[in-house]
Amino acid sequence: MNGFGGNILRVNLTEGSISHHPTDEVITREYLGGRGLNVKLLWDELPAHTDGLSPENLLVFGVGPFVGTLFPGGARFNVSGMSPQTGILGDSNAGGFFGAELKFAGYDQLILEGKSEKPVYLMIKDKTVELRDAADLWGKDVWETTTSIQNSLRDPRFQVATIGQGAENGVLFAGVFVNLNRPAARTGMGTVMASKNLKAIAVRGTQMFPVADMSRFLELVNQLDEVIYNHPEYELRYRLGTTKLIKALNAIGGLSTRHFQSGRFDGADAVSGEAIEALYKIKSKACFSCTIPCSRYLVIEDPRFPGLKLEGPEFEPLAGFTVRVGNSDLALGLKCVDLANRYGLDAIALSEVIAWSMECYQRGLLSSQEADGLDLNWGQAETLLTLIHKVAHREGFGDLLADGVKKAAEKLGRGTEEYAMHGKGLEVFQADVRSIKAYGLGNAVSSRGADHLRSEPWFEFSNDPEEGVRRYGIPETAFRLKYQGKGRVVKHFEEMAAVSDSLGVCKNTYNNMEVLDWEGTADLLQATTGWKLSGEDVRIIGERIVNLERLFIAREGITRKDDVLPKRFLEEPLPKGSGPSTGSVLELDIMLDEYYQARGWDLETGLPEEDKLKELGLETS
Amino acid sequence: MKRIFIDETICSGCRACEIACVVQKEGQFGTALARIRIEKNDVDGLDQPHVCQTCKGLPCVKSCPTGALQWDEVIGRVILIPEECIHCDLCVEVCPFEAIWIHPGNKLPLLCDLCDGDPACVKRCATGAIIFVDKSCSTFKAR
Repeated sequence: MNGFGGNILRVNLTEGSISHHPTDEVITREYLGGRGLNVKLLWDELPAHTDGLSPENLLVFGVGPFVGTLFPGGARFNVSGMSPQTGILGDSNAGGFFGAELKFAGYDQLILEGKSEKPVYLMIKDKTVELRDAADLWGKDVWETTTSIQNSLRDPRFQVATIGQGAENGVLFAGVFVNLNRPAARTGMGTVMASKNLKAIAVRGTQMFPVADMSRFLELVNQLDEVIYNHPEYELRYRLGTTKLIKALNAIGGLSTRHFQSGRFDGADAVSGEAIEALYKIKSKACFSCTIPCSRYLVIEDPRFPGLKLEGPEFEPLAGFTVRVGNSDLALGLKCVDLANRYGLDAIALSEVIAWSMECYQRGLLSSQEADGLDLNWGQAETLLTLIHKVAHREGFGDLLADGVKKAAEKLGRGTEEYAMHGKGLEVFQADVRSIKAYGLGNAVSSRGADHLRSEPWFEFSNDPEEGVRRYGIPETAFRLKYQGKGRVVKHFEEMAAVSDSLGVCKNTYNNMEVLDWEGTADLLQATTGWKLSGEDVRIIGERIVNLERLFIAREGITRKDDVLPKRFLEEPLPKGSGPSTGSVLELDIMLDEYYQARGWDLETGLPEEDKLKELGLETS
Repeated sequence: MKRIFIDETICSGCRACEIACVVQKEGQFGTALARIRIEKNDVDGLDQPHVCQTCKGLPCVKSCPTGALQWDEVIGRVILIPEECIHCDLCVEVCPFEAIWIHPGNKLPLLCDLCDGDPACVKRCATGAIIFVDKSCSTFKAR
């Protein structure tokens, strides 16, 4: 099967049984792979209201047609299931080298069902698949587990996806980690893995796969190279990766400072990507087959943190453990990122629960005594380090935080719910959506709970009204503080994000740098798979995936009323000192109306209309 | 004569060179049959490219008991005469750059042939960590 590994691997952990199935070309034509293929499987096989931590839940890894090819950054895998954190769609995505190795082993999808009696890990070497005892690995962190498995298999080319102690201890926002520092962190997929007593997956693939027209593929990749190497963002991304955003968002007043109490952070320069580059960067690093090495290997010489070295971080964990928690000590922030990685936790959720605690303390809603005597003033080093340990081990006050901010606030009560910064139970990212309206809408409607990576509607930063008219018929779409047309913008970028996650490529290149449009994607897909598709056909695949995800979460009770963000964003203007964003709030309802209209969804319920479903081949009856 | 030179300090470890090599030699996507490999150590952030450096000492040729490996002066690289190979794998052991592997199918040494003077791995490298230059070339010295 051109462009695919050709097989789906199904492992029943209860029975210890393993089966191979051919990849279905009818389904991949409609959903591509990765995220699309995964949600299709969940929709078909997972009963409504499945408990995320029950053996009945499924954990599904998927890769797409561009994974393992020369497509720059064709490296990504998607992991999906019912989220134990949010009770809706669980879905997370990561790069590194695991996805390509899985495909070279011959697999497009790996389905894990049931629950093992004892801790095990899954060893995949091409067609050889075994469940192996993991008693010795249980309790080990992400780094220890990865190196231990590679050593015991005597082959460093085994790629390992693992969980840390956080997942084992039932922290609801624990992720699946590859290459030590690269998490599919969101929505608790690591927690699901732990609930199945599955510590890790080690994969080694020595197969090859063909594409339909290799010379055409290479010709198109050469064109893509030209676009990438000449892209205005290339140099900065090569140097700083997404950490470039600390300074950029500070400039517009859009950072998550001290839990969204200001859009600007006085320590921004000190914790910026530029500061990391100057102080700690050893060299640029890349995911599999990527020509934009946006990651960085760092060695931090600081007597407080002996031996501290790590790859990354991305903007999100960096800002989380600096800006969001009011810490301007860069080495401390990087130490926190390292701990989160080793324990296997979602840095966005973790930085939110800590920042939320600090704000509750600031407002007199929480005492130091209730937090095990910790000093909850902003940026306290000892508190940050201790709380990360406590959350990972569910110790003391950490036990409350380990359920995520929504549940923690519900449990604590006394008005702290108002300061819990989440959407549909998932913690919001490190930018203030009052300063970027389309991102606000994207977070509100996101199918996995508040998240920026479901849409990444960067176009609102373009300040190019003519292009706004050309794309969306509305000049205001090009400006971040305007509302008009943002429904259309988010719809467009949601479809791009869905296609990106399903092809298995990186959103930095595919969405943010827009290196391929729909037509270009269709051409490359045809060279890969042989399918004759138009650009519009590819867009419709994205639309189909977004709609199916909406059906999936609607089945769990989600409607328009849940497409909402914390009151702070909607009612409190961004305080003075937030630069050009000062005074902004997020007016969600007008954008929501426009969005549902653009989507063909009912304005009142926010659910897909039957006509739309029929158009996409998703009839429910 | 042009040779491949490597600079691990700027190698991003992306392994695109491996894919490019397999595409060139096998016409498909994969890494197992690559004639160049990146040895990665994620803990220490190391990325070490291994590929034939066409070294003048020719330990692989000298170690070959049957003459299956020979230095071809005209094209400036080691060549393999498959029917002479007795699969002793000595060449793998003696290569100081750890740049010879055994093909899992035909059990012959996987040997870099410099893509007839235009190495696919070099063309694909985004960082300049692998270059193909004359030893005396000023570009090389500048790096």
